[in-house]
Amino acid sequence: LIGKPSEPEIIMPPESLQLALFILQEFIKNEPAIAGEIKSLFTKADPTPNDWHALRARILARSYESFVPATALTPAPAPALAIVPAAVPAVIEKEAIPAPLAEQPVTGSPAPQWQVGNPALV
Amino acid sequence: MKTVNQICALMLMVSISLILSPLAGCNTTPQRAAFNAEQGAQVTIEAAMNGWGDYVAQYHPSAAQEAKVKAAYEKYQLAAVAVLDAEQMVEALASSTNSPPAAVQTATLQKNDAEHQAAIALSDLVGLLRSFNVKI
Repeated sequence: LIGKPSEPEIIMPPESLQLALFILQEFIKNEPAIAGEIKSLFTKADPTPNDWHALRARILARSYESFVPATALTPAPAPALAIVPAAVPAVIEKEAIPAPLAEQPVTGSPAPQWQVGNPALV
Repeated sequence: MKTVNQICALMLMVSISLILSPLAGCNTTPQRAAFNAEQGAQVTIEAAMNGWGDYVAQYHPSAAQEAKVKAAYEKYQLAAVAVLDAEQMVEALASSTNSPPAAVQTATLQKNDAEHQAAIALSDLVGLLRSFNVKI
């Protein structure tokens, strides 16, 4: 029967533990510098708007790629801002270009005049 | 020897702080508690994502796995920012003297909802990384 030897149990009487804690507390009470430092840990001031902004910026600043430089994913393509040239023939004949609307000669009947409502009542 | 002394000093400080906490009292304000919670969550996320970065460099997981993690991370980012915005909104309304109570209540509900969403997003991301056996 080869087994793992049982670990010795270390039992500390609760009275001794309480006494040790009491002595430590009394020691700390008599050391105002230490007590002040520890108290400051539990009484931090409220966060300022700058603190909130800094945390917000910190969250937004870390992209996935900044954590994973070896990523196999390609970053999302940026929206195409460049103007893609349309398929324009190499030689454009002058006749093929329509004149702008303002320069077009008025031919035929004039544009119809739209009227709202019953003309007899207007 | 210096390191041992530093460790001893650190252990002493931790013990002292644990003992003194009842003496000092718990004076943390809700704003400070919320800020600390958000800051702590961010530190957790950064540590987890750094672990994922090491994992990717070493094991080269599939693009589908990476896409899942990236989506979960970006979801958490948006949720965390929403919490910060909601928190500041509540704080601004609460500190204003003429804010209608209904507005404060609505903002508080929105803040609670944002915190819930952020907690879910954080849990999802950490759970996803653990499912890939990433050391966090």
